[in-house]
Amino acid sequence: MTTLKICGAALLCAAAVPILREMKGMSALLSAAVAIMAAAAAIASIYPSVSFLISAAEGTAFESYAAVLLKAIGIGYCTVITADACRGAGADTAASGIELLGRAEILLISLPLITELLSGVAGLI
Amino acid sequence: MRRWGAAIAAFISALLLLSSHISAVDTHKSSDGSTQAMSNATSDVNDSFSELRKFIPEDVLSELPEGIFDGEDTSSSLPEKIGVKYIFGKLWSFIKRSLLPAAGNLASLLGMTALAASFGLLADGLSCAAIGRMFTLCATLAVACHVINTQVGIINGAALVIGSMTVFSNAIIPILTALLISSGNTLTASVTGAGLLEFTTILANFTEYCFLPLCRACFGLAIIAAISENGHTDGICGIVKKTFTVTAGFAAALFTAVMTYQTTLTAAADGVAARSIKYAIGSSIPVVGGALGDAIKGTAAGLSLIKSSVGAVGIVVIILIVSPVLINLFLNGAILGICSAAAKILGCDRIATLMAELKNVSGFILAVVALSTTIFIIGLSVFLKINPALSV
Repeated sequence: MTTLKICGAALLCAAAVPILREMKGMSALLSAAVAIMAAAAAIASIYPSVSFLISAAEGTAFESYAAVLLKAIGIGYCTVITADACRGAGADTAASGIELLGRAEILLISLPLITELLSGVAGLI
Repeated sequence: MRRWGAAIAAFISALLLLSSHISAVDTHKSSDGSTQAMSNATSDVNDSFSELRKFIPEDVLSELPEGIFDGEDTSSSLPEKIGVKYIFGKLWSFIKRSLLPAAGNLASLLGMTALAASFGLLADGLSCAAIGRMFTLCATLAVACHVINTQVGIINGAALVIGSMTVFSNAIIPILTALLISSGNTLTASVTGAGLLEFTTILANFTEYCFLPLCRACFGLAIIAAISENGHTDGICGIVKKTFTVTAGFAAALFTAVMTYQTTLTAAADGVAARSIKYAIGSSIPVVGGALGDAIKGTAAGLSLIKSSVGAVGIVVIILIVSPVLINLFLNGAILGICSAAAKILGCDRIATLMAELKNVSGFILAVVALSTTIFIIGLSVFLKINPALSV
């Protein structure tokens, strides 16, 4: 039901954008609002699946890895949605900066994995 | 007069021969008589047989049949105690013991692969390719971390087992060499014993300077192959494995062939020498010459029995040392193969590559351990097959 509502809102937005094009910035703002609303709805709908995955990984050997992966996917989505919104508003440079930030952030949360991998390889020496 | 001179010379050579046999097994005591000396030699070699247990790892010692090192009855009851039923029973128990941890390992690796694949499906929706690649790298690193934690123990276990095998062989070879010398095979003992000791030294050096560094390099390559976007290192571990196993296999075959023909030639030479001495004793020493020859023959047969027992126990110990590791490596290869296939089905190509490369590394280790074991067993079998020169 939520999906239908969001799809309807997106269609309305798509119809409104050509009309509002003459009002500078309004169409971009509307697009960004709909995108953020859709993302919020997506997060709300995806939450049970992700929490199931996390609870399934709890107590297993890969619990810590699941947490890292969840953080990485969260950062990825936040970055992409924000960058798209910026791009829609015509702020391409800001979008590129956000994407770079997202990549750096994912690399940062991967650092413990790299350290663990290196120490694992060092265990062979 | 000439006949007496020949008799005295033959007697002196017989005494020299006996004393050399006895000293070879560190049993040289005051020689009250040839029979007593031979009896001492036999009893001391039995002691050497019992001493062998000191070089057997504790976990293997507990797997050996009860009373295997108990005195005189050992040789007669040995074929029953360490027969086919015993060996296959032990192998089955090792398999049963390894199956549960292997199933846990499989479930854990499959779970991690499924988790990475699930998050990978979510990441497919990312419109930015760079962020998507970054996430794939993160997921691959997570899986690599999880996999490597299981693989380090297996590789170190394989290195340790080769070390244990080398230590045990270094202990058993001198005992077998001493027994061979006692049986009159002096030339054969020196050639075969030296050859096998040389081989164990080569194997120890090979493990330390070649096998382990290559495994580490293959591990590194496997991780690079998984992380690298272009996958240019794909299959390098497989190539290393094939090249190395073919070369090592050829070297092993060469070693076995050289050992076999050297042993055959030296055994023949020892046989001729022993026959000449026995003929000299039998024909030159009046009255007791024939009896002395028969006594030597009997003692040599006894020593041969002990040699066979020590060799057989040695082979069984090597099988018991190596079998758990071989079974683990085999199961590990199968697990990695299954996970690689599962990752491919789930669309995680990098994880599939990582698993496939690690499977190659596991196969490489399995080949090295199996090859070393085979050579040790062949070496000991060569020892066992040598007939005592004095019994002809």
